[in-house]
Amino acid sequence: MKGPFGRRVVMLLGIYLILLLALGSVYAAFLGSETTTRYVNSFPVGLLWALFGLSSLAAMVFIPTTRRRLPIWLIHVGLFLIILGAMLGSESFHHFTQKLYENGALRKGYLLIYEGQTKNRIVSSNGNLQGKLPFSLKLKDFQVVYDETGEILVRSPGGKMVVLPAEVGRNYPLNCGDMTLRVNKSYKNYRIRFENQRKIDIDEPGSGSNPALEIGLKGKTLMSAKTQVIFPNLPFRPDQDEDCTLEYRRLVRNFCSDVQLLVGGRALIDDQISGGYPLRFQGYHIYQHAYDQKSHKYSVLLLVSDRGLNLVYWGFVCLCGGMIWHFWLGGLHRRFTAMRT
Amino acid sequence: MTMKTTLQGFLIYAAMLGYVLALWLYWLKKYELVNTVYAIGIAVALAAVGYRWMHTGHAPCMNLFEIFLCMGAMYPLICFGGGLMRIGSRAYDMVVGILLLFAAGFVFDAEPRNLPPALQHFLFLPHVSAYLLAYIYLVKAGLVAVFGLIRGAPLYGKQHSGDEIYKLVRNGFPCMTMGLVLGSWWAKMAWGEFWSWDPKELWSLAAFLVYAGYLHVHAGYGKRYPRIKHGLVFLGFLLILATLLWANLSDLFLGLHDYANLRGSS
Ligand code: HEM
Repeated sequence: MKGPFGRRVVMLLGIYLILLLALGSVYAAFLGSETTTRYVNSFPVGLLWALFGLSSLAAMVFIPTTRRRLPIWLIHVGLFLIILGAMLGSESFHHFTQKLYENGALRKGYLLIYEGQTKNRIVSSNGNLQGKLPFSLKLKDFQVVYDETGEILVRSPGGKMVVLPAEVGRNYPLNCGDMTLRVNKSYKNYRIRFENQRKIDIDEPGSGSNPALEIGLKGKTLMSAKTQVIFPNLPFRPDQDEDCTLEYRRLVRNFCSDVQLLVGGRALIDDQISGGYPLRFQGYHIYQHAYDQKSHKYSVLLLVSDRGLNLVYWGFVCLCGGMIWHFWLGGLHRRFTAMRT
Repeated sequence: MTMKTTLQGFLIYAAMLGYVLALWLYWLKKYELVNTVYAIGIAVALAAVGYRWMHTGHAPCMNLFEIFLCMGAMYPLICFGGGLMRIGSRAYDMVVGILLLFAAGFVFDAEPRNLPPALQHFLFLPHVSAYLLAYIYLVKAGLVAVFGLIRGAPLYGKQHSGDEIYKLVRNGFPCMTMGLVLGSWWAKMAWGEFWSWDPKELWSLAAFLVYAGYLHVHAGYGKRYPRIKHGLVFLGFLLILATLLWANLSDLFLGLHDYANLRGSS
């Protein structure tokens, strides 16, 4: 399609497709992530995306004016690569190749491993076996790292819940019985010791863990000001006449699994997997997903196939590079040459 | 709606007062004083951002309070800095600054929260900063477009034209693209998928596509169809508002981005 007329027609098609997808995105925002993912993996929506990617590429190939404009080329080639990569990595394409080759790559699944255990069986989110990996993972150690300051959960009459940062020295008015609360001290490993028949609270050094928070309470309804030590998972009722409870909560900063990756029984990699820092091996990314919240005995790892990911990343580079070149550097270059002439 | 009786609150209200005074002086046509008072307001707003950063120990762009505080300082600063953002009457920029700080000062909860694990990543700051910068340019473009759309309304400054809107979009759109791409990369590192079709992602995709649509109308038809182009830029602005506010505040759109949903407990 040559000449300004052809360019205008292609442009119109581009605008139409872009706005159609914008409308679709708004509609999908009301459907929720699960339903939208199902739609996106369906044939008609896949076809629409393919048309979008191919038409943006075709426009670059067939419109003569774009051929000399490398940044615009980069933008549209980038878009095409992102769409192609996303399609190759999609749920439906994985299903298709699994049917084709019997033992194709798994798209996504979970590994629940106890400390000391070695596993290669992948299950789905509802626990069904999905397949076995060509390698196995051993969980050497699992740790939860907490923030220095936690928070106090106040449940006041009527079920209202307020969260207060447990910063030592802070005072808060409480919405129950006109009380005020002061955070006195936080303990990592709270212990009681008796000296000369007097009870004293100490923070025992060492590796033990018994987090607690000492608070001071004052109020009209209380007989006298009192000091209280509160613990995680043990709601405390400051005033028996009021329907109000306080609970200390520690905040998880991160959780990490120290793993060993084995192929044919031989250890190949020793690494730590933590939130935002996955392990990459043989076409898979392995993520820290969840853990045993009660006793920290097991870790849940998420395994996601990398198929198409490199195309998506190259697409990102082309898209951003093209944008910067076209909109920013191009303008600067024009201004610079105008100044010189 | 609650007053903040902390130093943080005091700094926000002092900055707001600076903007309101500057607006009043502008209205009285005391132009020689406007700049000084406006600059003081901006300096105090920047101090409020700095104080927040020091107090929480992380860049203040984790929840709606912090986003509005940052925008309330950065939007007037970039407009004040001149160049492209000097388009149109300064009075409108002051009103935007006041509205942004009003939301930070009265609507959103300022209680510092610790960063959830998902946000403790090196890509968090670049992703949010790129979006903040994009929003500043594109909100300005949206305002200029609104005045272009209303027939007979006072224009947004004397030299208003479609060219200025295009210049603002060509600054904001690459930032938006980078914000989207960085967010996508971060999502892949944190959640395993670079795109999850989460409501907030979908609103931001819709905004991105609408601006792309605008750029194609501009590239294809030049100066023709100004109302369609203004309409698209205004629609983009509404979609930004939906991404920022509606998707975070409405219970209709629960998703991965709910950590930003800190509306305050009071
Ligand atoms: C989200 C998707 C898209 C993005 C972000 C995008 C981005 C861009 C940008 C930034 C420009 C340069 C505009 C300017 O100079 O102001 C452009 C031009 C263009 N785009 Fe796209 N585009 C997209 C989709 C498409 C599609 C689907 C088509 C084709 C059907 C298409 C065809 C064109 C054409 C023909 C040009 C004009 C090149 C010229 O000026 O010679 N684009 N696009």
